Amino acid sequence: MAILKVERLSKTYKELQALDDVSFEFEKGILSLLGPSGCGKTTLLRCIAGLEVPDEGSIYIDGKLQTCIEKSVLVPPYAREIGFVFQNYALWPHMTVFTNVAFGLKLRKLPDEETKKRVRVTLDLVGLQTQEDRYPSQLSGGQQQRVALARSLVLEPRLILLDEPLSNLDAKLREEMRVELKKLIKKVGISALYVTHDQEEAFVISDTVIVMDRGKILQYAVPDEIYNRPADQFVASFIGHSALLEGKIVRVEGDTCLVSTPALANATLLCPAPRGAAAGAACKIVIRTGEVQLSSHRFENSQNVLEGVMSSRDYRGGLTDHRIQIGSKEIVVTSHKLCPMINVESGEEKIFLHIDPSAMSIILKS
Amino acid sequence: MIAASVLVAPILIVVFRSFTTGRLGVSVGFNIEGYLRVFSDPQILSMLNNSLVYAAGSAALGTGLGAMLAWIVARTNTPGKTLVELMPLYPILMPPIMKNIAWILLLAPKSGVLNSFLRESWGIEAHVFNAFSMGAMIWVFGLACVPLGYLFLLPVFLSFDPSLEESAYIAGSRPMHTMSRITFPLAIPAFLSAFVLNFLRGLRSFETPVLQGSPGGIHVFVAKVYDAMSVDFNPGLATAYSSVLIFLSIVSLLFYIRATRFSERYATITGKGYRVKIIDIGKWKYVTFVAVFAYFLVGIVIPFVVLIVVSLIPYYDYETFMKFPANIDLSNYVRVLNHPSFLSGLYNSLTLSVLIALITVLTGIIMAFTIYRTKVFGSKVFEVVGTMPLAFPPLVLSLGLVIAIIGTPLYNTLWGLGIGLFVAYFPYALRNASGAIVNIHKELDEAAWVHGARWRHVFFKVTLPLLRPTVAGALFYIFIESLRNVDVAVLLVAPGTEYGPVTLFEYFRVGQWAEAAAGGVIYLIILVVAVSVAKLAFNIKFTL
Amino acid sequence: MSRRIMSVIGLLAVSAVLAAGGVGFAASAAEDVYNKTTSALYEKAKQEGALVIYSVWDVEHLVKITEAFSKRFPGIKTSYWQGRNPEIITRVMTEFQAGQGSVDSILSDNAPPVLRAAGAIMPYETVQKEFLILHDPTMPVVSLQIQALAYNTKKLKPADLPKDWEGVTNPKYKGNVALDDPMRAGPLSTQLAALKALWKDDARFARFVKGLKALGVPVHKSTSAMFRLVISGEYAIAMPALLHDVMSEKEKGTPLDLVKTVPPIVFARNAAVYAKAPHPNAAKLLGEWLISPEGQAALDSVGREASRKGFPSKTSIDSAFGPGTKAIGVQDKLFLEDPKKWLDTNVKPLWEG
Repeated sequence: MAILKVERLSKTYKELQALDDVSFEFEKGILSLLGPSGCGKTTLLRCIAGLEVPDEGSIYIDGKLQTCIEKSVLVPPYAREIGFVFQNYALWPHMTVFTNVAFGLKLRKLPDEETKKRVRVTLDLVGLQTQEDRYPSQLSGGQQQRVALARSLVLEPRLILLDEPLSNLDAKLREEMRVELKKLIKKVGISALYVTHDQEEAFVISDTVIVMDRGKILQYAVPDEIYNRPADQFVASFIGHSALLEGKIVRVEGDTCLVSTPALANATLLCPAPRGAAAGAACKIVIRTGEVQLSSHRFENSQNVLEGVMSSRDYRGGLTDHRIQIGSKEIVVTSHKLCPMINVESGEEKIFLHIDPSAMSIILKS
Repeated sequence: MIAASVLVAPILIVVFRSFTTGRLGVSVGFNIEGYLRVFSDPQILSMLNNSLVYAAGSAALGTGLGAMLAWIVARTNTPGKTLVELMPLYPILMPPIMKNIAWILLLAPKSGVLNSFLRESWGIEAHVFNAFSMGAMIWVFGLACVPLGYLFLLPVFLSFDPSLEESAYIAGSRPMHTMSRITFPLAIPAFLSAFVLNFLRGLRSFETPVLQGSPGGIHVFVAKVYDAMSVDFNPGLATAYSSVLIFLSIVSLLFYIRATRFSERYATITGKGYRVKIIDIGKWKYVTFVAVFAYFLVGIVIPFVVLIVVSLIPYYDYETFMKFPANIDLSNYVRVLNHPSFLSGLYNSLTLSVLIALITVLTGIIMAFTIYRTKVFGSKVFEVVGTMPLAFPPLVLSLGLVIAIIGTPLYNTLWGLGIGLFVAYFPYALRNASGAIVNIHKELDEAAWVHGARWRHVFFKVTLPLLRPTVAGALFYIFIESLRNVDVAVLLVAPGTEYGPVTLFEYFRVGQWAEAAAGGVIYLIILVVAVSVAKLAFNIKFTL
Repeated sequence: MSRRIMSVIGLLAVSAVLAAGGVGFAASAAEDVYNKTTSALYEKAKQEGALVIYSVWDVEHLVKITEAFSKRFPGIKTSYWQGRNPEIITRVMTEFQAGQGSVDSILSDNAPPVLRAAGAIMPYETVQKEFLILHDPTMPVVSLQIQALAYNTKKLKPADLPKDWEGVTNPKYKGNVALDDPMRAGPLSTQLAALKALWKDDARFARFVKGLKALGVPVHKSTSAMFRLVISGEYAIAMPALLHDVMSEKEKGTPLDLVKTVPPIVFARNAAVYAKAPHPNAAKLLGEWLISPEGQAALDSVGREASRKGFPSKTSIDSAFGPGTKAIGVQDKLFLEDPKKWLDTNVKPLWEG
């Protein structure tokens, strides 16, 4: 049975449509809600927690109906038996680490011994066993984050909701924490719904990802599929590191198709054919710029070679961004330092882009 | 909801009363004659103008000063910490009317201490100070407005997430700039709460206008209400006049609600742990110390000294005043201490005031919590309704209360009196709590909620403890205020009940200044000792 | 008791008996009547067992007076509530309309006539009327409010003093007069009502009011604050002051005295019986006793003015102004019952015009 089922959820704030007829099912594991700020992901999370009341729709957690506007069902947050980790941690400043974590257990009237044991086990799990008598103000940001997590985990919910839990940490700590968080959730064996606006974070942490924009679900798939076959232009651009070009399908040949691109001096590119592709259809070409190979000369017998002029080069350590002018369009191609060195000076010689069909997707215009 | 109905009943009665004409008992026809008289009164505009200048001026002076003091105490490294923490508290203990009398004695044009001193010692004949001017009225009442500003803002500054300020410093803002652009704007809900309360207090305040305004030819609007009550004996008309005050109070509340409508913006207590940072203000710390000390001087020491001297000399004029202490006369103290109901009355009112402070503050927080944290339908209305008792001049409110409970067994009991005080002080508790609740980030509630807490758990385990500094301030204020309340209480005191303020402040009411000063001095000494002992014994802090 | 009958009684009532000389006929006969009446009232009052007083007087005074009363008439439990006149009127009228019987005796000056006009007073005529300086057949007059012209002796020499009330309007006193607000129900408006009735001369009255206005001095809304400011030397003349205030200040050595040539203005302080009094006989007994020499002595002990002719006390007209001084009484019924209306008709056009 799915841990979470959302049916036709809608919510409007004054003029803003925060959720627009959202439906999905979540079996288990870790699911990320990914999207820009204001896309409705936090509203969706808060509706699931019962902190917001949608205008329409229903929510099931673990098969049990929690919210159903049509049937006037609204289980209060305290009875939903979920965990929730807030963006700002929401630790109670007047309580110690121990009392923060023990809060939910005390409300459930567990015996003191049992409470103590479970709090200690959980603090152990998040690596804070020595900090239980401290106040939140005496902890670092990462430690506070762990307390917030422990506070939810100690209740052993089947589902935990996390609202951009790492956004308040610095970059390095964030990268460490997301791996640790994933391990921890897997170890405890619960399902998690994870809200983030960071594509990389979503991909690292989750089994499946929902991309949202303007209150709608645009794509619900495993990270690999979202990366390789973005459902639409928005997903493609939001996932990042890709160039989007206007195109027109010239010919379809089995799994592949030939697309002409006016923006790149009418070059034709061989691409994987999308479902329902037909000659003459207008489309968008998504080029994942990290997968493009650069060279100072044209390879023999190679397909999909574009010719351009390097306008500048930005060194990023392990990676290098090349800004390349092709026709009227500038494309930023990222190369890894293990790639062959490109001995092309900007603005002088020609540079060639070799694009494997697997580095492209086609999105048909509807 | 019970609290709501306790509040609503007298208000409805008072409003209904405003549509009945005629003097008490003459006729109770339901009409708008009272309102016609109010709106056709030619003096209204100039009086209203005076009222607005006076109320807004004193509220601005008092709340602003209170905010500055709160900031100095909470956020700066001003030397003499304990002293600085205590100094702003003591002036609260002095009843406003004592301040009026003291300042009249100091500032009276011909006979005041200051002008007489200038004349006798420096030969300056001009009346430099004038107790009977708008400036002096604003000065004296403004000083009486400081405590509310201080007590409302102190908890905000004490629980301030420093990252809110630090981010401004990082952006290149200087400390003073940060204070004005970041710190104070975030304190806006609490500041406006205190300002609105002080403004309404000013609009309906009567002692200062009577004692200082009318001799200077400055007439304020509330005098109309009092004339309607005490010359016309017409509560309907009095209420019709107070409806102008009610209108103004609703306008100022709507302004408040609008100004603070994005309540999340003002959350200074967030769920991120932080340590409140004391700002090193360098050399300025001596300036701030002097500022606090100066307030302590004008807020209590100077008026208190004047009153002590006045209570110890046979009568006040400058010559006699300057002979002190050669002419000490303890007869005023003998008289006050021998007052038949001095001790028993004090005991009754102490007990009642403690109870009222507790109940009122708790109810105020519950209502503020309901308004801002739950989705109970129509709860916002109570933001206005809960504050309305403050718009009624005390005698009008008191009358509404009497009518509300006269048929019940509560009438002529201490319970009835308690209800009256509750209604009178509820606005303070509500404004205080709602100003404070918006400073607590909603997530802290929600976190409790999703982790299994019901509303009552959220309230008692999270909100209430977080409001502790605020609660301490409000308890203190309401206790002190209700301890000296006479105006609302007077109609509700049962015959034969010895109620402290009525006996102790009787001298103020009948205008025996020397006895009043003696009574006031005794009262102040008791309170100052009580507050200091409480502070030391229980280590009461206004911090988390 | 219908309101109409009340008004008729009221009209007849305020025929103040203002006389200076001694008591004409056999005092012992009158004393007999008093003794008989009080013992009859006492019997009934004992059964009632209690007495509730609403008063504007100082609590200290009330305590001493009720103590003396209880000593004389044991078995009647007395209690009091103290408030200002508007508060007394508001409270009594609210209780009256609600049908409550909580108060018995209303011991005050301005409140009883207003309450009587509203029908909240049970008429009671004292059996000792021939002893009274000022008599009201519906409410026993137990004490008097006596107004005097007082001045600061450090500020004015006796030779410079006004000779009568009208003398205050002399422009030379400009800036030195503390003037009570004539448009509030305070001592000055009472005085105006008394003088207007005495003079029966509208032109003179108008001259007087306009003369006060022409002084251009600020008006005070608090009699006591104004009195303090005269003592402090802010002003030289109190227009007007209350006799018992002047006498008690003089005792302390305050530089204050009264102008003896200016005739005192007297106003009744009643012990009125509430229309729905639960203990009416106790209330009547209190009224009778307060007028008796014993009650008057109790009043004198707290510095309150006697209402009994020839009663020797420091605040009596005879001792303050000299024997044979003629007092001016306030008799205007409209003023007593609806001061606002009287002021609007008689003073407002002159004062504000």
